Amino acid sequence: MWFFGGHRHLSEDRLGDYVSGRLSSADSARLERAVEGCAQCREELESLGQTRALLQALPQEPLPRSFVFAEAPAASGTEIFRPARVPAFQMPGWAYAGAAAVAGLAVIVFVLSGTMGTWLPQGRENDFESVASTASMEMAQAESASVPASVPDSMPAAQPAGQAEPAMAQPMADEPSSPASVPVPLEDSAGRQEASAEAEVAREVEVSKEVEVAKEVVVERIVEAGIEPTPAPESQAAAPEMAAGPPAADMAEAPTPTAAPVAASAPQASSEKPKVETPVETEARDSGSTASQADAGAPVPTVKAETGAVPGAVTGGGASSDGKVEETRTPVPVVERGELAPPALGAIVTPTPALEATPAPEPMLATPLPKATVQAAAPEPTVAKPTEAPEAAGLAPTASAEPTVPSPTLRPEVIEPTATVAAMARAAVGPEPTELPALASEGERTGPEGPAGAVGTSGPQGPAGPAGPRGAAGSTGAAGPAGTAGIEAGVPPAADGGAGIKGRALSEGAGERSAGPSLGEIALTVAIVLATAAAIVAVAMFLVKRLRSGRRGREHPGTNLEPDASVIVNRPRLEN
Amino acid sequence: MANTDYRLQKPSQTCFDHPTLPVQDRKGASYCFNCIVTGFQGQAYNVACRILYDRHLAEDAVQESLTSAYRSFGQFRGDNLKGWLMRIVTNSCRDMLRASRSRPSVPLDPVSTDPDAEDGALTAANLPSDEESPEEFAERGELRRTIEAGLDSLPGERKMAILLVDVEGFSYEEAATALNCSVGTVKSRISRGRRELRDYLRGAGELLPSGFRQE
Repeated sequence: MWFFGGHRHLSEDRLGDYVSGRLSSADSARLERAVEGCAQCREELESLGQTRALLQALPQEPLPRSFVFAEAPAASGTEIFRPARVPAFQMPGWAYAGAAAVAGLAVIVFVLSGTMGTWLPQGRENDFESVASTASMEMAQAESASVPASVPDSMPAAQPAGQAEPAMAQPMADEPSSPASVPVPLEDSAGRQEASAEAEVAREVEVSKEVEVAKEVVVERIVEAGIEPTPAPESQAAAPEMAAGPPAADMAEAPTPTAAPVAASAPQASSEKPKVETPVETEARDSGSTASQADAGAPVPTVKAETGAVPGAVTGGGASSDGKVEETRTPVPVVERGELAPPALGAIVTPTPALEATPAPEPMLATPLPKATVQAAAPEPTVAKPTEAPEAAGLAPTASAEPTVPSPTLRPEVIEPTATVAAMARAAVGPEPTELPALASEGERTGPEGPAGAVGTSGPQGPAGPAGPRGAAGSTGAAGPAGTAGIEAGVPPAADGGAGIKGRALSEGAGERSAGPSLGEIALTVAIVLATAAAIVAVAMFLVKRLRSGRRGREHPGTNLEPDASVIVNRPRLEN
Repeated sequence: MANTDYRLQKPSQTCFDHPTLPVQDRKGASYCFNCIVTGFQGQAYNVACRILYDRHLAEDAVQESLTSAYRSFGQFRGDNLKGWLMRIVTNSCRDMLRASRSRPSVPLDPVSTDPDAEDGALTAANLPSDEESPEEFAERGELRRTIEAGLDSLPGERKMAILLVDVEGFSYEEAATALNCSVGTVKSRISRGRRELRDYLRGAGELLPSGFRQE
C-alpha cells in the first residue's frame, strides 16, 4: 500500500492498542512491520511505550489494613454522618403543635361565641330588656300618676272583709306580673341603693319642689274646706327629720293640721291597708264601737290625723327575707281627741300590714266623707296573719290575689292625691322604728333615700304603700307606681319602697353588672387571651426559625469538625 | 481474575482466610463478598490514593465503597465485577474529592519541613531495596512525583482512564464499566491522555531517570 498510496502514519489509537497489548498477534506483527519503515511512527510508538512504562512503574500503595468484613455490615448501618446544624433557638415539635392547637381552639371558640351570640349572655340581655322595660313603664306610670285626672277608674276596690288577707296592696292594673316583682335578695339592696344614689339625688331636688307645691295645694284645700290651716313650722321642719328617722314621740307631739288631709288622702287613694283615723274614727274607737279592737286588747295604733301619719309607715317592719311580715310594732302616734282632722277629709281607716300584725287593728270609718264614697265602711277587717302575709309588708298583690282588707272602696278620683300627699305623709309619719331588726337597720341606712320614695308616690292612684318598711318614705312610696315597684321588689329597706323607679331599675342593672362576668364571658375572655398568646408565640417561633434557618448552624460543641465535615460511621444494625 | 473465582459453589461453602459473607447478584449467583474484597481491595485502595492523594481519605473511600457494594450487590448483573466495583470506588472518590475541594481541610499530622519526607516516608513503596543505590532511590521518588504531577495535569476523565488502564492494569472493558462509558470512549481518553502525559514528561525530561528520558 505504501507503494501505491504513499506512507500513512499509524494512528494513535492503533499504536495505543499495540502498547496496551490489545492487538492480536497478526495485527501486532503487521504494525511492527509498518513501524520499522516509518521513523515517525516508530518514535511515536516508543514514546507511548515509555509513558506507559512510567505509569506502570508507579509504586503500589500498601494496604493500611484489611477491608474484609468481620461480620455482615448493616443493611443501612453505614451512612455518612454529617454534624447536624444546631440552631440557636429550637423548640420541640409539640410546642408548635400545642400552640397551633390552642390558637385554633381559641379561634373556634371565638367564632362560635360570636355566631351564637354569647357576646352578651341571653339571659342578661333579657334581664336588661326586662329591667329597662319595667323601668320605663314605671316611669310612664309615675308621670301619668302625677296627673289627677289620669287616675284610673279601674283601681281595684277594697274587698269585703270575708276575703281579707294580709296582702292588701293593690297591684297596678297595667303591671300585674312584672319581672321586677321577683323579690330581690337582701344582698342586692345595698347595691341598688348605691346605684340609685345618683338618681335619687336628682329626685331629691324634685321632691323638695313637689313638697312645696303640695303643701300649697293642701293648704288651699284646707282653706276650701273651711278649716283654717295652722301654720306648722314644726312639721315642716320635722319633715327632713322624719326621713332621717326622728323619734316617734316627737312626731306624735307635733300637730300639723295641714297634714291631715294628706294623711287622709293617702289611704283613700290606695284603698288598702294604710289607714288614717279621722277624728270621728278616733271618737268612735274611743267610745268602744270597735269590738275587734277591744277584743284584741292591744293598744290600738292610731294615727294622729293632724299629722297625717300613716299607720303603715309607722311600722319599721317589712317583709323579711322569707317573706314573712316582721312584727315590728312601732309606736303609732295616737290621735288625741280634739285634734281632729277636717271632716271633709275624713278617711277610712284600714289596717296596715303592721297594724294587722298587731292583735287588734280595726278600721274605722269615722266620719262620712264628703267626697269619697264609702262602700264598705262597716265591715271590720280581719286581722291579718303575719305568717300568711308575706306581701303585707309592702308587696303588692297580684291581680289574682285580691286584697282582702275590708277597707271601703274609695273612689280615687274623689281625692286628688299628689306627690304632696306622699311627701307630707312621709314628713308626718316618719319616725324611725327603734326596735327594728337587721332589716330595719338596713332601712335606716337607706333613710336618705326616702325622698326618692316620695317621688315615686306621686301617683295618686297607686295603692297606699304599707310595704314601706322604711317608715313614711316606704309606706307612701307604695302609694305610687314607684311604690308599687318597691313593693314588688319586696325589698325590706325603705329605700325601694319609694326610692324611685328609675333608681331601682338602674340599681338592678348595676347589680347584675356588678355580679361579675358570666361563664360565657369568662370563657370568651380566656379564649381571646389564649388565642392572642398562642398566636404571638407561634409567630415568634416561626420568625426565629426562619431567620435561623438561613444561617449556618453551629458545629457540635466539643468537636473539632468543620461545620459540614462528613464522618463515615458504621453503626450496628438492629435486627428486627 | 474472573468473577467465577469469587462465587460460592455451595451456600454452605466456607472460606479459610476470612469469614464467609455470602451475597447474591441480580441473577441469583452467590458470591463471598469477603473474597471479592480480598481480591480488589489493593487496587481499590491504590486507585483511591491516586485520585485523592490522601491515604486516610482513600481508606475511608474504600471502606464506604465496599460497604455500599455489599448493600447494593443485588443490583450487580453478574459481569465485569471488577469494573462494577471500581466504579463504586471511583464514584466514592469523586464525591470525597468534590467535598474536599469545597471544604479544604488541614491535616492534623505535623507537617514535615523535609521536602522529601512525605514521599520518602518509610512505606513499603518507598523502602529502599538492597539492590538500588541511594541515587536510584532518590530518582525513583523523583520519578514518582513527576508522574503524579503529570497525571494531575490531565483532565479528570482521562486521568481516570489512564489510572485504571495503565496504572492499575484494567482492561478497556473494565475501565469502560468503571467509568460508565463505552470502550471507544475509554480508548480515546487513554490515547489522548498518554499523549498529553508524554508531552508533560518531555517537558520534564531532565527530571526523569536516564532510562526514561525521552528524546
